[in-house]
Amino acid sequence: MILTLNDTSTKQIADQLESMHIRRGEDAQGRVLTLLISCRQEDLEPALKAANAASWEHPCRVIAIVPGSPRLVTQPADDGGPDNGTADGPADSDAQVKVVGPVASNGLETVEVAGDKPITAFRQDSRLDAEIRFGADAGASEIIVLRPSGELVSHLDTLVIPLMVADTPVVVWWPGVPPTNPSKDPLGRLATVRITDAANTPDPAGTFARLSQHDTPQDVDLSWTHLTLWRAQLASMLDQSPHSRIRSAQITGQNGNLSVLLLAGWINVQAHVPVRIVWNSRAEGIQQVSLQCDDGDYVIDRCSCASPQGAAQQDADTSGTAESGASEGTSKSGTSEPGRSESGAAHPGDSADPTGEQAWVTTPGSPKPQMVSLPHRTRTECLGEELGRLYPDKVWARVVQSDLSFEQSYAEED
Amino acid sequence: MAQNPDAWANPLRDAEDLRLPRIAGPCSVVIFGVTGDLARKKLLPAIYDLANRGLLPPQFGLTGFGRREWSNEYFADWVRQHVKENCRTPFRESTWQQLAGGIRFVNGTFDDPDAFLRLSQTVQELDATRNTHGNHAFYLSVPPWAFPIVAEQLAKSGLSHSQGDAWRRVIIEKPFGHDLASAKELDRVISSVFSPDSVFRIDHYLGKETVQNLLAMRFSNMLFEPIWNNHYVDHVQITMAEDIGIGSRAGYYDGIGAARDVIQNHLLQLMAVTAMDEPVDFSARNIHYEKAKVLSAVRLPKDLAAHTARGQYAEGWQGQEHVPGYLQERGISPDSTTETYAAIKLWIDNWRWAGVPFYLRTGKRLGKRVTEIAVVFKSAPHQPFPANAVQEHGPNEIVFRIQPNEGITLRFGSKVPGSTMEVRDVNMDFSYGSSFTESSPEAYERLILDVLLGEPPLFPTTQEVNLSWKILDPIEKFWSTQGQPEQYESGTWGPDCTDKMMANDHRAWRLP
Repeated sequence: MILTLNDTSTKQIADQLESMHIRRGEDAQGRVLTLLISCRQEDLEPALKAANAASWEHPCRVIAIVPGSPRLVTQPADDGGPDNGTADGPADSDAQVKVVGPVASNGLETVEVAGDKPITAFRQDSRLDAEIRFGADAGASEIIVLRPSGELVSHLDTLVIPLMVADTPVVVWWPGVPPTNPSKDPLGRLATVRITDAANTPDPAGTFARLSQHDTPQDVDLSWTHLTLWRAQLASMLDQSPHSRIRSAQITGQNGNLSVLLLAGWINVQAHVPVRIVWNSRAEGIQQVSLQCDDGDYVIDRCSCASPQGAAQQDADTSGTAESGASEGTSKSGTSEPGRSESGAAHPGDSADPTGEQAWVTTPGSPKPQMVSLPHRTRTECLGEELGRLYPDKVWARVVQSDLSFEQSYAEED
Repeated sequence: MAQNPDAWANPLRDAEDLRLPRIAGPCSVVIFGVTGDLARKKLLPAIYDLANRGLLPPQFGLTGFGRREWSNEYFADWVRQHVKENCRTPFRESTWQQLAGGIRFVNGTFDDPDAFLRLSQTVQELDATRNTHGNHAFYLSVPPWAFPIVAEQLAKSGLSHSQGDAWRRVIIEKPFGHDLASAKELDRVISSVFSPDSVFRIDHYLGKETVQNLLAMRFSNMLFEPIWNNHYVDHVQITMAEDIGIGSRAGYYDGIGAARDVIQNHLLQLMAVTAMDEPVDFSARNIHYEKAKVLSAVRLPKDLAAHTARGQYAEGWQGQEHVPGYLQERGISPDSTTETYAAIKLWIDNWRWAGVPFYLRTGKRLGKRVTEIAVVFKSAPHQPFPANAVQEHGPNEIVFRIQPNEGITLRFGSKVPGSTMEVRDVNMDFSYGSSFTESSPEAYERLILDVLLGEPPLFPTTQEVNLSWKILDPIEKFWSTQGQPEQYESGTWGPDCTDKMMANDHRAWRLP
């Protein structure tokens, strides 16, 4: 159920929410946090979808803020129909919009339509439009979408304060381009945890570099959350052979992928060993991690990408290749053969595992590689993990603050 | 970070890294009774769900042991089908592939030494091909009579012994005997084969989030513990009601009955968790210590006739369905004296609980399926309101709803809106419900993972089992002299005698 409130006030929204609670016989009970989502219109629906799914685990009130342009003017468009600009479909209004003046970095071009007649006046006044979503449209949460424009855009904090769940943690999430310094952002200042997603911006590396300059223990980027399963598998792989020391490590992954860089940073910070990155344009995310230890190589290889064939085989029993393996700088497909024999359904190598979720684990002395399911984590899973964890992540902070410069090379293309 | 070579620590693990889940090390699980209900509906799906949550290692094996002449492939398909039907998390092909490579089936009967030889070869083969490092857990999802036979075969075939750092563990399900003597005998047999810390007794209630939350709620808050004693608590009611009959369990159930089936394990464990003192820490040792302390302080009422009740469900209407009575169930003798409903009253003789009765009840074919712990408080010492203003006001209650709709209800009096002063009871609900439960793991997931990790806090010890039988044995003995239990209509809240039992104390059962 979606309720649209045009040209409204925070008081009206709060009252409406309250009366819907009463009418539906439910309270704000069980809402364990307020999730603020600050995004552009085109990011809104996917972000809400992820938040809805995560809300089953962490019932929350979602307040999505979609700032409009601080100043905008619209003019009648040739094909502008009267049904454009309804609350359900403001996304399709680009054709009618002409933006004048500065647009906020996360601003949205929007259009105001009153009745059948598009407004053509130059607007300087502030206005708040909102939606309240309940029930099937909101998962286990309730969603308030705020569309402020004009002067309101620069006072987003006071806009959401009256709408937050009382005395519960506040999480703010920027699904797209985040502010330069989240902890100083008006919304960011309200939050216990600030979530960014640098990989989901036009310039991931640049965004990450900016963010890391202002990182605080309350900030986290989803490119780090994406790594949890990998990190868990790596740590647990090493648990199996106590006393083995890591000498060096090598990570192969998608060109420019932030998570690859962070994983390298993590291993470097935790184990104090040199880490080398091999970028592979064909990889999707992280492709392979190899830890060169005293007793041989510990490798987790996700075989989803059709990696170059014929690279040096990295047999399980070939110990002592620690340094040489790292210096070759080519991506390896060494685990494809055992993979084929292990499971009838997976034929890594020629035709990669169709699910793209399988990885092969090779440890020194193990008879043959073992398959482990290592799916790419969805945004929902990552968001769920963050909502379940509201404490400062010190490990992340250490990784971000480390120097994160590694020896790098590019996998050979063929 | 390993400055000291003697104290190796995994550099990738960090006490501050709370994101990393506990993943079991290389190991395999062997399930006896793999074609049974429990395995199909709970164990296999739980293993899949664990794998899907990334909590099982790639070096994992799963062996089914059964009479059917199945191949590994056939068994794997069969497992896949039941996992798909019953798994909690989405079915993911890659997860299935991870498990599928390690699935084996061994055909045989419990008394066939050759079958155990084959089983031994199978787990060795898993060690070789799946690198399971000789770590194997044996899940005995079998009738109690089979425990000693299987244990003995495991010993004879050498399966119960491991070398070096490898472990062998055995998981047994209730019933742990049918009285103190048989429980001790069972323990003797099992512990002659497995060391005590390798034996994991499953009480799946202890794996439930709500039960663990009970500990969190009691011991992490200032609000409740000060009133958690005989100054404020009038009595405690612990209920586990089922709406189903015995179904196909006639062979197991007849002669055992509700008290042995449910009170001895689940309800006494719930009582222990509700009543125990604060453990020094959350280690297995200290939780067991507190539970054993409170169980050993239990005293039975002198007059068992007045303070216990039993019944048998009679033919009737369970909701929309016409159901047979217990004595008409297939496989049940028409003169069976087995109770399908049992209620008992217990005292706990310590400073905290002296004078506070604990009422425990369970039954089949009751009004609905519900498990709850209700702590009922004393009435306020004085009501400044006119008597007719508080006539609809009962005692305050805190109710832990274990299932379904897990959560906590707080019941207290509130003024009815209007010009007159009238106080009526209202409920304040905290619900894990609509929300948390959707994603909270099944009890069996938690418990199986704990076995594989070797973390025993949620498993009752021999001592707890024996103490529970000590409580129940005199009651069973008394009941065995009382002939046929009273009949109660299916779909109701039990026999009349159970209401009389409460009325004797001027109390009444809650309507859950």
